[in-house]
Amino acid sequence: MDLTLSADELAFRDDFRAWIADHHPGSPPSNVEERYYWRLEWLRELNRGGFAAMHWPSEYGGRGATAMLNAVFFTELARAGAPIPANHIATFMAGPTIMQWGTQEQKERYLAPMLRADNVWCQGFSEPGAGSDLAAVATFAAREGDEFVVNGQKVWTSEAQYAHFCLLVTRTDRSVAQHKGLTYFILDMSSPGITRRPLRQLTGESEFNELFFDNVRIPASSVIGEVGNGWRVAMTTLMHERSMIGAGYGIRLRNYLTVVESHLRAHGLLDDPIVADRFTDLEIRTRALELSALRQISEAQARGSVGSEGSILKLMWSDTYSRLAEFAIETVGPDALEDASGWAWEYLRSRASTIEGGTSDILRNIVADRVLGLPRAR
Amino acid sequence: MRFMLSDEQSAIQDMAREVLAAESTFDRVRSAGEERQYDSELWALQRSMGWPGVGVPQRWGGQGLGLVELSVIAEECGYACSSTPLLGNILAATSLVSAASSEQCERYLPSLATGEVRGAVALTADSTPVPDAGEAGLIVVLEGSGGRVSLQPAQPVETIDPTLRYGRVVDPSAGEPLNQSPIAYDSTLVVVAAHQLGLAQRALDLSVAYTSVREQFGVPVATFQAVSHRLAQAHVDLTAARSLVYHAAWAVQVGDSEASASAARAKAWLAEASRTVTGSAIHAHGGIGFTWEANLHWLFKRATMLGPYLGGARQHRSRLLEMLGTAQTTSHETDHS
Repeated sequence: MDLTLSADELAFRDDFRAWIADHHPGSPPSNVEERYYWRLEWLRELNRGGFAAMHWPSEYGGRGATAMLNAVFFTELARAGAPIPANHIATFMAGPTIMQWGTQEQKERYLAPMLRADNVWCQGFSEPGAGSDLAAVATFAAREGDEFVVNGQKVWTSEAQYAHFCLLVTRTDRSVAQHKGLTYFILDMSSPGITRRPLRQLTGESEFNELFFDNVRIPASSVIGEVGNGWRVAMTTLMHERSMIGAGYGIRLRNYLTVVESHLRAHGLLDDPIVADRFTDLEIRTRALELSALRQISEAQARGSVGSEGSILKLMWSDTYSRLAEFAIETVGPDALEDASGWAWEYLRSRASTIEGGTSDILRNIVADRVLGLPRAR
Repeated sequence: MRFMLSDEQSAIQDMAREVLAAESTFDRVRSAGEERQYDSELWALQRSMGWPGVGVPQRWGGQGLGLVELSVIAEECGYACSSTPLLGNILAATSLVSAASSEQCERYLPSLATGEVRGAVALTADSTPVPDAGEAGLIVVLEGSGGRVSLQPAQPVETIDPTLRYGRVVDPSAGEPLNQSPIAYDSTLVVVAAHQLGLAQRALDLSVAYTSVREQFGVPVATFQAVSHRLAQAHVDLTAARSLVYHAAWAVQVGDSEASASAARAKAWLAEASRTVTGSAIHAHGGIGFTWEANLHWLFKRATMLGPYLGGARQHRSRLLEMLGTAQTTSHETDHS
């Protein structure tokens, strides 16, 4: 048990801390779209400094960083009040998936531009009839010579409005068991036949989209990991998605908590013992999430593989985030519910936290099944 | 950074788990509870293995191990719900190691380390029954960052947890003063929280095992999400608990700037989580969980008794808030370069 940073971790931390001090992007634009491009520019800046994808191997422009070093990276971002860079679907999901399953040509073509932010990626997994039940994907890709012709619909596609490429899971065979008939593609978003429609969410904004495919043609060379192997490739993507949750989400929560704390202190609200008690409980939950992320990184490194622990961190995050958002609007007072209030936005946005990226119910199934080893319902 | 037990620490854990699985079965716990007497055979065994002196420096007859190792032992004793005065001895010895003068250490620690004298730790400003004080020959009374050590017996109290002998301090001003040492209090909080973690972990493990084999409607009840999600949530809460307890053990051991805050978080969280999870386990067992023979009640009762001991959840959250205010920063680096 040694929670001090190693010499390497410390050296990196000092380097990166000094680098951020010189390259800090300042405060975020308020408009959603401008904020996205601002975070994309931040990715470019990080890439120029060699910090865009810490965990990627050096041959693809990363540093081959351990998960722990990656956590140090995120901690320093948070400490400096700098944003998490955009295009995380590329750096945390598409990149590692292509590294594991892609052909040499795909690696050469797609990986480097991700870090330069020349390519923005989105993830086409969920469908109206395939949410928690991903294997029920119905979007169909029919083979025609050297091409596949895709028809169907995706939903909840984050950042599709900016994306150049999409990680697309389709059905290519209806005659075999559900999860055996799937194929995973890289879809060029400029292909004819794609309609992108922003989904207006309950905050009034559009972070997510619907995608409609009308005879969209994809070259067979854009299959990742063989026809019929889409389920396994998709699991790789999801595993990498959850591996980033610990570090990234702990920081989002800590930053929000700090904002709430400043407000409470500035207005003397912590003099109320009930407010004080609830706030401190939320601080403990936040610290527990941060510490659990570090502990799980240590255990995964010792074991040499990522497990199902990401599900536990995500459950902690969404629960604490929702509690904190409710606490904030109850405590701040009537101003909190005015339309343009940041408090109101967090409160409304937090309702997605127990749904997105695996519902809390599905995640409890995963904990029950894979962590506790309970018998499965199905 | 390596936030997990070292191989040596894991070996201590395995050894303690194995010994207690054999020598502190629920049959033994139950008979100790029913007779309202410690399991003297197990206590003799623990003494022969040197457990009361695990955290006592070697020059005073102990093994000189740190707070992480002590927490491992305390957790395993909670896991077994064992009925011996070990917790009180560990707490008394740990607080004396940091708050007693070397002359006091010389006088008191060797007999605590062997278990010849039984110890307990109480808070001055608190009438909560003190575990192991009922038969203790030495009581450390902590007050603020100071305290006293007294040989005056406590008033025995019969509580809902008859597997430990509880007591109340009669005269908190008796005995001789100790040095100022915040570490004494922090260390005791961590040890108690670790013990509470063990109680809750056992309750969860028992529930996982039982609901996997207990059938209703022709299937194991764990296949129902109403059951499995309850246990999954308990696991999430204990994941948080384990992170908080072992971070606090490490932080107090090395004198990290976050040590006192971390100890307060651990005790606050476990005061509630330990009772919640052991209570939830009773429910997960259905009607059988409410019976005397199901043994879950021993875990639940001790978790309940230890909740307010040395300060309950609200007290520690209030302390934590003061510390956060003093730090005026939520920076939480672990930099000892």
